[in-house]
Amino acid sequence: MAMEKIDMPGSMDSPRVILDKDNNIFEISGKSLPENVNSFYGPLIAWFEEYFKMPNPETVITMKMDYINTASSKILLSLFLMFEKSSLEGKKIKVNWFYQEDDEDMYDVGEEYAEIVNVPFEIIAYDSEE
Amino acid sequence: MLIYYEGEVDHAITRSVTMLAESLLMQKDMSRALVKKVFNILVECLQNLDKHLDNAIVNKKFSLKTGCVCVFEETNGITVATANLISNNNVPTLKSKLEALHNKTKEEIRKIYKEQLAMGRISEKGGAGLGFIDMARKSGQPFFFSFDSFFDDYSVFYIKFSVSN
Repeated sequence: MAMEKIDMPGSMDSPRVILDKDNNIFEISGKSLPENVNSFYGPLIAWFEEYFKMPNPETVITMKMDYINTASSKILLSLFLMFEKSSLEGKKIKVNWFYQEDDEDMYDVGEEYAEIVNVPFEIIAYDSEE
Repeated sequence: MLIYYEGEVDHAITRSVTMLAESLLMQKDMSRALVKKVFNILVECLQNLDKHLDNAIVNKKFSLKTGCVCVFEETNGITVATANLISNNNVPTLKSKLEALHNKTKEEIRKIYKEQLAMGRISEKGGAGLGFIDMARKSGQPFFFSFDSFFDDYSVFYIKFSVSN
């Protein structure tokens, strides 16, 4: 079943999001401190709920966050817990958590999610110059 | 003093004040890590004011919706401080929350953060119960807070977080 893709440009307070089942791209990147986390992330969560009914053979989610406020970190956890649920059901899911190499805060955040959520989580440094 | 703001706080104000702080600190050649930590603390401070200030007008002079925030430079880093009115009914809960974080080590705060993240839910106002924990963590040093009775059933709540170079 074809799924409409989500492609939202990032803004000063919300991340860039690409959810594209056909091309197997799932990416959230940038800053996240939206005015209302529920209205921003609600549609993304609903998209994944639909997607996991019939996912691609392998789903790799790219998280490349520069900044996350605490309200966003909470709702991202519920997204990851949804990945966990599908992963425990036998679906192949992995999260690649990118952080700028000198950004220990974003590294810590990734590590905490990896500890809380039961989904393969890879924490990957990238060059700040990129 | 780098920034002083007093008045109502909404999302647009939060956005402008944090962006302004970010660019002022960049101009001062502060390290990227320090700028990000200050940005972090400032966002949470302002979002606290935005989400938690009561709407009630106390009298013609004071609105509970008013808070003030300032960012200032000290010899060894940057300090962010906020002050706002709070109903005395809400003081004990907030006080015990802050005391639980006070003078904790980095590892202890990390543990509290993780527990709160794994447990709490987003409140209707959009808070995650993580704000002060995150600020204490980003600051990495003891913070200062006080409640001073102001008039009738209200107190002034003051809190200050510093980040070192």
